[in-house]
Amino acid sequence: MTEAAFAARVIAMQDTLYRVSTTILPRLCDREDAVQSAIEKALRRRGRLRDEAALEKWLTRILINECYTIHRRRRREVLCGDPAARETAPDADRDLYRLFTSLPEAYRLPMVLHYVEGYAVSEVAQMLRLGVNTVKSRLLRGRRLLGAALEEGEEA
Amino acid sequence: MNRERLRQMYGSTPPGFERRVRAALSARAPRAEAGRCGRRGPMARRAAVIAALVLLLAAAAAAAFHSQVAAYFGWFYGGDARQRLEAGDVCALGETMYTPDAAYTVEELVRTAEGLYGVGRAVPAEGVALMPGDAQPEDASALDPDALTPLPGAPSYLERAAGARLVAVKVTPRALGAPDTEETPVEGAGYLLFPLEDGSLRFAFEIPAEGVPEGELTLTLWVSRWEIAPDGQPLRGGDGDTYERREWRVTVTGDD
Repeated sequence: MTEAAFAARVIAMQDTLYRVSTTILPRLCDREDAVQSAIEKALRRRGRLRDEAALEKWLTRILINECYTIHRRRRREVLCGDPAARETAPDADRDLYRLFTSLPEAYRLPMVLHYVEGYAVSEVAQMLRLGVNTVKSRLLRGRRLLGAALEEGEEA
Repeated sequence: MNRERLRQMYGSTPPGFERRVRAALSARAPRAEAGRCGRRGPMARRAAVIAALVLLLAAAAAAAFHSQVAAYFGWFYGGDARQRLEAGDVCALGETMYTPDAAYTVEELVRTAEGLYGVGRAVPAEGVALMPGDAQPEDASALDPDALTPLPGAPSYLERAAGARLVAVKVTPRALGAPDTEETPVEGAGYLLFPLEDGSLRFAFEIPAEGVPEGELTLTLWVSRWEIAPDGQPLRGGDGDTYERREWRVTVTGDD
């Protein structure tokens, strides 16, 4: 794969990269750091990618690792401001985002990869290195929790 | 709930994020421009430094024992720093603390004008599987030393612990003190736990010089542990709490 072809495919998936990083990291600057590191690593190692068709999944996996690395580091720091406050885009559906981010972290990422990004359960399992049944179970529980949260929100 | 509705909760990708994507692709990434990340303190930088050096720890097992800290921290900071670390004082070697869960060994401590640098290892006892206290039970139990990504084929911590007791641990520098004086909590220290392929954990830490008095010292490390239930739930706090913390004092010899 040429560098130009690689770049074109990465740019085509930048919305996915944004949503995945936003699912894990509350702060925009951390998401930017994570995506930059992930792309740099992918660029350096793209020769190792045997199946070019899997580029998007491969880069998403690298990004998830970068996000968790930053996330762990952040838990060791004393932050200015409210570390729990999540930064969102101006046109984001903030109510829904707030409900979604109130779900346990273990459910959010499989839900985003499957329901938002459209990956098959088996692909999500591969990307998250989880069993297929574990992913199915998290999707089911996550959907139930989100549904319950939405109902509560509507009643309120 | 359909896909479009779910996508709306994220909104549009911010222009700043798109710029970073393009900058990374063109190898002109404005990392220093991460101005809003300027809130990142020295702790984060040290954590990044330690992350990088621990990669080398994992990759270079054959390195000469006396040169470990110099090799790894020196690699990250550059040749001059390496020389300073090589000329630094090796101030503790091989001190070990045994607990029912693991044997913790500080393999090397080096003191220079810049600070106190340490590396060590936690080896699980029989019937115990260890995981870093800041990891998730579903994470891979060994990392690729090239990239801090899961080592291909490495089982998760939960999988590795099948039939064993899974214990989360942390080793953090807590305080320094001269003999017969009150200890002072260390500030600005960085630390990291890194899972190795054999199931042991590498720990490393760096304490800036301003927090390290001259002469002989006692370094107190906090070794924390708690168990993880077979379903992945941490048994920390509440009923069935398994959290314990021990203080481990390591002698740091003086400059003489």
